[in-house]
Amino acid sequence: MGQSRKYEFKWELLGDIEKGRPNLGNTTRLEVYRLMQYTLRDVLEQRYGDEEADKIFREAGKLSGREFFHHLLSGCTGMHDFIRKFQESLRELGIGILRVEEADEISGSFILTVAEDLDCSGLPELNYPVCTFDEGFIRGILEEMTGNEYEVREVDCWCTGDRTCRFEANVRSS
Amino acid sequence: MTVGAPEIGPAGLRLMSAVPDRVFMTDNSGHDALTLIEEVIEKGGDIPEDLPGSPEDQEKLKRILGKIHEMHSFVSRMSEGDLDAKLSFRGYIAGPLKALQSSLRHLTWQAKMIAEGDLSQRVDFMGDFSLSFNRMVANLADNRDQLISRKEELERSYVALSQANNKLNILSSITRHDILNHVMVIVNYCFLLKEVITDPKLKKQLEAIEFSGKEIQHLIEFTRSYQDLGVLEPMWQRIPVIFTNPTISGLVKDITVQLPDQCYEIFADQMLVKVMYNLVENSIRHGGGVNEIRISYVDEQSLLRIIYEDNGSGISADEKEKVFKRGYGKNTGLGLFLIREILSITDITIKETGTPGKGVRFEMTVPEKYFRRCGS
Repeated sequence: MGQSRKYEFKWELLGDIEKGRPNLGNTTRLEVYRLMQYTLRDVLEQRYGDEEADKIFREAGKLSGREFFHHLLSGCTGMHDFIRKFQESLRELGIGILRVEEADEISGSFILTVAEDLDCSGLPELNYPVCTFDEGFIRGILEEMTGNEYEVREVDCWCTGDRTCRFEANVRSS
Repeated sequence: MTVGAPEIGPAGLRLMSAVPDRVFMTDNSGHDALTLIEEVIEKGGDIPEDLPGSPEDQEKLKRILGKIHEMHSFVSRMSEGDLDAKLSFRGYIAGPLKALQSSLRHLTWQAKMIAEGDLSQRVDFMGDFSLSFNRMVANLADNRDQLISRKEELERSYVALSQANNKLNILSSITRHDILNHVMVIVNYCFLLKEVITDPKLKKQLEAIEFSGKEIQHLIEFTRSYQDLGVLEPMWQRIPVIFTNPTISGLVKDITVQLPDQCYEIFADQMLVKVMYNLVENSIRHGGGVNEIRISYVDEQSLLRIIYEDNGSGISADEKEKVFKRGYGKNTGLGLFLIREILSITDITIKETGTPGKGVRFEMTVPEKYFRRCGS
């Protein structure tokens, strides 16, 4: 598949936005982002089913997290520095307000919350969590930071009636 | 809306629109249920077994009352600082409660990080609290930076002072050597002249010059012993270990030395060994047959007393303070004077509190910050 792929992800695919959008700049309305995300999800779900669509979103999130780490979070001097930069970058890019409830450096377990989340805050209540992309995104970042394989699960979500999305991240037992 | 009714805000309107119409029952069982809900909200209490309404309504009422109890327990535990409580349901009321719990858990984690020295922590989007918290942490970071900078300055000063001190030591060592050479010439010539001079008056004057020369030699030699006073940094030391020093153990080989059972460390100038040596030497030289020395501690929490005692002749009442004066005594008169000087480097004081005729009792008082129990 390798040689025939048209869009193997590279950070350069994001393009030179300054050059390409001299007047409109590098921001857009959140509805547009969500429009793309949820229509894409709709099609994936119709074609591959709910579970498979979730898996694809997690996988894409993981890839995105790894790239995000390498381009925006690399060079951290330690866990404290990493968490601080992670929080700052999510805030500055308008992705969400990241807060840490627990961070056990020895076991590698984290409980993180994201308020005002890009993907879900404000969505109708659905009785199930929807932030599968975020699960993958956090997983990708933590794996790149620690070198461990992670399992990330969203336990509370805006869409389940909770104001804050809460994620539990644990190192996968081998 | 009824005229005169209290105004309902947008949140209230959302709540009302979310409540199904059939909750508003018109028969007595509905009224009883609402009264019960109101009572539980206001007064608490157990869920009664005989709930009003149909079995289906009773189940629903039980769930509502159960949720009220659960929320009460959740908030109560949070108010007591327990942030691990869980709510078994989600939704309109549970959401903000969990968000509050999440914020508190995050703040707890941040406080822990700050306690571990991470002063980069900041709180966002929590109104005035964010401002105050962030200002507090920024001030802490500023103060820490200032302290680090001050510490570095002090370290530089310390290095400069040490270098100056070393140079002064070299200078005084050379000067001492030169003085001793010249004094030796004087003393030797006195010795030679005494052989040839027969005039008793001149001979007496010569002897006086020779005596003074020897005194100068003695004093200069004595200053050599104390050239390191305050030069090296004070350190934590244990008195029993000091007594294993060959200069002291050789001195007390015919004396029974009783050392304390408790273990303390004393922060003192590195010449503390000289202090102990001089105390022992004084006991032997002036005690009149001392064959027992005891050292003990009295821990008074805010200070530690180190007690040095012997079974010699002791010190008379009128001499108890005089013995610490420079030049006082039967030998050079510098021993106890210098002991006090060495101890005072780390604020340790010394006084003699023994009973004349029953041996000396030197009491050294160590301030709280300059002693610690071993292993603490």
